[in-house]
Amino acid sequence: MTTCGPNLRVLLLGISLVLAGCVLLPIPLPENKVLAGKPVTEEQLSFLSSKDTTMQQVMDHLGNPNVIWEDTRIFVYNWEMRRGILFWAVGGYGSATAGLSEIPKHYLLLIQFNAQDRIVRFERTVRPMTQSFSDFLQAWGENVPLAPATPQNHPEDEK
Amino acid sequence: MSVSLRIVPYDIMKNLASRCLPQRILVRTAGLVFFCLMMLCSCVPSAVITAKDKAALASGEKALVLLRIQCSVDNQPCEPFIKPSFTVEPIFVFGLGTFETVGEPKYAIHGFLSQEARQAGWIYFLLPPGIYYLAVLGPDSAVISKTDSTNDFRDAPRWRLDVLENTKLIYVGTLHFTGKTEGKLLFGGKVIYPVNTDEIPLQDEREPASHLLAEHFPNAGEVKTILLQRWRPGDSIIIRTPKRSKNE
Repeated sequence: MTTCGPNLRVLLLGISLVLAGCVLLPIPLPENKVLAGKPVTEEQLSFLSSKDTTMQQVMDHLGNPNVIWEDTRIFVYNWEMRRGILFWAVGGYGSATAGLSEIPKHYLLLIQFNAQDRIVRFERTVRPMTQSFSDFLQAWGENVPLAPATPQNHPEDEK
Repeated sequence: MSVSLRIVPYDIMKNLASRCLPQRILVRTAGLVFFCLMMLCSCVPSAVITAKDKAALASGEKALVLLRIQCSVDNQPCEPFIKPSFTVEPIFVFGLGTFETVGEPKYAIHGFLSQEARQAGWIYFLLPPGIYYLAVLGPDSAVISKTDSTNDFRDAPRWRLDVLENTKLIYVGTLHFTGKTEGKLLFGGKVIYPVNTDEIPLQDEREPASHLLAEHFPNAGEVKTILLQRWRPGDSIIIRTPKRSKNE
């Protein structure tokens, strides 16, 4: 029995979709359009590296967080950038319809504070499209770093 | 090429029609069933307190959150929860944002304590302790088509609702909505759309709320009043980890 490579699989999938009267064509684009929220750049994060950064200083620099997870003392800033466009078309029996949809990329800046309102850790990350917001947050909240912590992401370890 | 036409004699047709009588009755019955199904489909589900709910309420696992909706359309008072039928559709639906949705409101089923309570605009939700975000769509004659719409709930007026632990009965306030009519629907109903959604007054009617709850839950204890807090775009969404119930 022969096995087919990933390229062949994609080609076969594409052909089967076309034959089924359905076309899905993702077109990657540079991330230069904000779909929702206010982006936080890497440069804006430089002040977070100090272990003395307080909750108030974070709010002064970045504004009110989009989400406050009260009991875990986590601030969430989220925004969406356009990563591409999905062209879709469905046809059959003499009629057809087509359209364009924007493909979002879900960015998050997560900051956790201690009981003294000082930063414990932070991370600028991207949420996978397949994972819900709450699942992602819970996974991050429960995450105990196994690998040695980087000074940037874990300012308390700088000591 | 010739086209042949087959002419059926009159008596044969008459005979056939008489034989088809049971089929006509069948068609009428099917039509009636179809009409009844359409009547049912036009309804918005509303909750009824079950024995399980009563047990959850008694154990403090859930709280009954009471809210009153009042509405005026074209400056005239309007009943917000007329029983829906084939030609009368609901004009209010509700969304609740939870920890699981990170505050994003999703369609939520509301309940009525009685027919009288329904006519007076009192509704309830049974909720475990936590922070919720209530979104209200209405008064809107097209509201039934918006229950699955994330965008409509996202743009709807929203309030924060706190359900405290060890509290069984909570009254959260009375909201006054206004609407306007413009034209008529296919079956004569009016096209209603909401107006002044930025300024929705919140009234404290704790006395009548306490009376209503005492009537239905005489042994549930004191009614706590925790008024809704308006949430506006740009405000932080606050979430709290829900406590797992004993059954989970």
